[in-house]
Amino acid sequence: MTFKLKSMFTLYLCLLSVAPCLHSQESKLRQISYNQKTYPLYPVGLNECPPIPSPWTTEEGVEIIIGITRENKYTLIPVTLENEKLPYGEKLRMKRGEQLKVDGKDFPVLAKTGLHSEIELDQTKAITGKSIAEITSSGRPGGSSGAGFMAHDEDIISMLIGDNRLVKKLGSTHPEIVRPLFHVWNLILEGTEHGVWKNERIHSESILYNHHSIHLKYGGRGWQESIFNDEIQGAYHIEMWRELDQNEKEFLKMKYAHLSEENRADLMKKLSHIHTGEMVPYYAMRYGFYEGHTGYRADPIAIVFIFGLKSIEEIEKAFEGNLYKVLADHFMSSDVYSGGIK
Amino acid sequence: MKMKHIIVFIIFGFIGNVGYAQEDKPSKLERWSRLVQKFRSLSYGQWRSMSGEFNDAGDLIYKPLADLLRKEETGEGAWRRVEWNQRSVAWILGDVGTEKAVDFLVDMLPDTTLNLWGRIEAAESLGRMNAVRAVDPLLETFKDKESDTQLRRYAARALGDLQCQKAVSFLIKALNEDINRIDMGVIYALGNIGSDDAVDGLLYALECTENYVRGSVYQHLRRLRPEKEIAFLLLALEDSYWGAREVAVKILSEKGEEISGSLVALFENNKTSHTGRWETIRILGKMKPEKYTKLFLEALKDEDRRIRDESAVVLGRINASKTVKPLIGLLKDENPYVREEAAWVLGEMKPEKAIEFLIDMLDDKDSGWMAAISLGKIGSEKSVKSLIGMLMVKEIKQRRAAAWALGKIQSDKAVEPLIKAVMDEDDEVRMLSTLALEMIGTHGALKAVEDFKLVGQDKQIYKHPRLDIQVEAPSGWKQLPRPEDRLIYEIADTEENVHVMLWYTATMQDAKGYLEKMADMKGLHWEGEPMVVEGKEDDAWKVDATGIVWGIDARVFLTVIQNGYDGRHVDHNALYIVMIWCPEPDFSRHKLQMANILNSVKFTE
Repeated sequence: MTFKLKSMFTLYLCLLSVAPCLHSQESKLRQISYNQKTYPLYPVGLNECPPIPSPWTTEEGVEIIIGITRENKYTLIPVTLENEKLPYGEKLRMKRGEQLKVDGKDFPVLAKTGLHSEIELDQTKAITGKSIAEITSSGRPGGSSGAGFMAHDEDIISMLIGDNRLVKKLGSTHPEIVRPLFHVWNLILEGTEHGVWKNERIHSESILYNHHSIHLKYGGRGWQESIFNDEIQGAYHIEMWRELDQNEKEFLKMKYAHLSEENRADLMKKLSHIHTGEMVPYYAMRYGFYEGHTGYRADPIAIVFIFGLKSIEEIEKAFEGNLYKVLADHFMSSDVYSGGIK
Repeated sequence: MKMKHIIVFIIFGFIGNVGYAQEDKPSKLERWSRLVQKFRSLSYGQWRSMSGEFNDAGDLIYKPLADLLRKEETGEGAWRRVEWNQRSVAWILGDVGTEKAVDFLVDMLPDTTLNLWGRIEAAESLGRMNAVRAVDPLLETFKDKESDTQLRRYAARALGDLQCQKAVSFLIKALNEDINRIDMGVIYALGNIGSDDAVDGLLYALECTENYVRGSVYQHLRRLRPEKEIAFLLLALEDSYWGAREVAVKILSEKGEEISGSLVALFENNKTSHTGRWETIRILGKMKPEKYTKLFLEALKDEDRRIRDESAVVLGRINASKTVKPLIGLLKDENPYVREEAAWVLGEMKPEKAIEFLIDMLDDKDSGWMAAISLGKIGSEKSVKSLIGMLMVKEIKQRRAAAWALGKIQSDKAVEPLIKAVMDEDDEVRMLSTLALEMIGTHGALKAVEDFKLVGQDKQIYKHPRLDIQVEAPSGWKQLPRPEDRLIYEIADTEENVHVMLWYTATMQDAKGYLEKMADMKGLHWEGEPMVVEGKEDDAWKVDATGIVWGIDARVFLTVIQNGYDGRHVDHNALYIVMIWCPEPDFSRHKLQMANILNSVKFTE
């Protein structure tokens, strides 16, 4: 009897501690309807792929993607971007937090249009109250992280300008491009909430996204502090990639015939693989920052390609024969400030 | 008999012991094998969690380790598994810590049949287990220029862990080889050894090593000779490596006033490098800058542009009236970056007397753009004419800055030029001009923005089927049924976000009075008096109100327009009502469109 009481008390405490982590609307949602048919949501697995687009937004505004579990079951995962303000001083840990927040104080044009104004970036001396020099200093390798948030020869403003030009050339905006990354991160949070970890250090699965099958692999790492004065923190490695289909391979082979086999393979890898962490979606939405050319960069071009936001033909057209160079070159101040993406 | 029993007892006892030993041996071996397997399943970062678990392994451990060291692997990633096996062996031996383990590891060092990282791990383990006997083999490995540089680097680190004074001269000599990887190991070793010779070696390293290596050198020097910490920090201020200087700036800034005397002396010393003097200004500027105003004002004339530049920023932070004139003088500096910084500083300070000088600077091809930005921040109406002129110059950056500044100043005079700029060839000039027009917010400005947004978007006329009134809205909007009142004509966009309703009434009231009465009846709320609808010849009034429409929190443009008199009642006014609304949360998105639709209202013949 004492044991039972103890167990019940422990269970009660567990529930109390878990409850605040649950997402307000979505965690209560257990099923959705599509074309007058009802489907259960994650973690329930389905034997057949539901005839629902992925990503898909319900009439109530719930964003859904289709996941494929390791047991080859299909599952509908709610991954809506949320905007939950954390209590003052609290850091982002295993929560969705403010996923739609844009730093409108430092970048009013970004907040208004989804793209930076270069003239606004040119006059920026501080972001979140931290000087550009300090941010660059802590962002370079060996600063606040060994790998760094940017390469040795990059600085924060050159990064923001460089990526803004990429996104603009892609005919998109930062909030549009960053959405799939948030979907992946919210999927990880959903999984964690439902206890998929179970002693596994690395977890992997696939999702369907704009008719592509995208592989995901993710696992924990030590806590990484932000280089800005904000609540963002990192704790995960996230890898996402997809195979190129035959048409895409042939198209690149034709357009980049001048590249060596090795460089072409590298181009395909850069286009179709991303290794990053959960800080990037928050950074990209808030500041238009995708991290520099380090092992954690989520290149906007790769995001657009992997998640099928644009076709390879559209992407190529935006950069006309320079795709490899654009994906590989660093955003050095001298190049960025002299105009044009290299 | 007794003797017999004793003998039998002894024999059985012996056999028993043998039997016990025979049973015990494999089980212990099994235990170690299991422990080794467990270790191999861990990631590198988790190895430490098994620290101490192999301490009492005894001789039994060597067999499974020797097997693992030579284990062949096949298939994909075989080389990686081999490397992993050998590294595991080296680490475990370091934990075993016996003389025999040292011998085993020493043998691994030169064994080129082993994987490189297995040998490196052996060097690390020897250092970790403080194996003094391994000094000579490690030193030999380090001195051997034919060895891999990574192996030499880790051999150096191990010598450092062993605090091997004997190695110091060889370590210093290796700095001349100019191999970064080895340098990092050497610096670690010298830092750990910490003797006077080693400190000399570290000082020498400042002259001959690469950037990020020097960052680590300063760290060791400060730790080893804390009494000279300030001197080392001041030395770091003159380093060509930015990272080393940043650390020094941070630490010195935190020390505050206690070191200000040393900083001023450093700045005033002729022998101090330009870089060192520049960093000094940065630090003094972070302390109590007012105290050093004179020094900063003097520094505005310095020959180094970074010093002039940084001094301007600090003086801006002080924001005293006596600093304005010298800063204005800096707008004519020979260096464009200094002129730019001075303009930026004045824009932050916002002194009235800087305006005319900033206006003069707009012609500066290199830095004029920042003068425009600053005029925008100051909100100078005086500069509008010049900024309008700047909208048409060749340089893109100047045009962008002018558009940005005009948006900040929000002058009506800029509307027409900005409307032209909305068609600029540069997309950012177009975007900034559009935003500027939105910020100015007059009827003409908003209409231009809406028109611009609707370029390429088909529009169509929606005519009331029974009344002589029409509106223009994007194509494809649908008519919503209003069977309860056939005089009400309602259209909405495809998502039914924006609604437009047109109807009519004949009343003796005037348009304004009727508008107020109707808005009140509908439970709408607004601030102030109804406004005249701009651009309408008729007697037209509107309110921008909030309220509930069809159960939705809505934002409503309610307008009443008088178009003469009612045909049937000569004393009645003909009032046309236009109600445009959308859900309140969507209003900012639809505001311009709603305003434009309202502006498009016309009476038909």
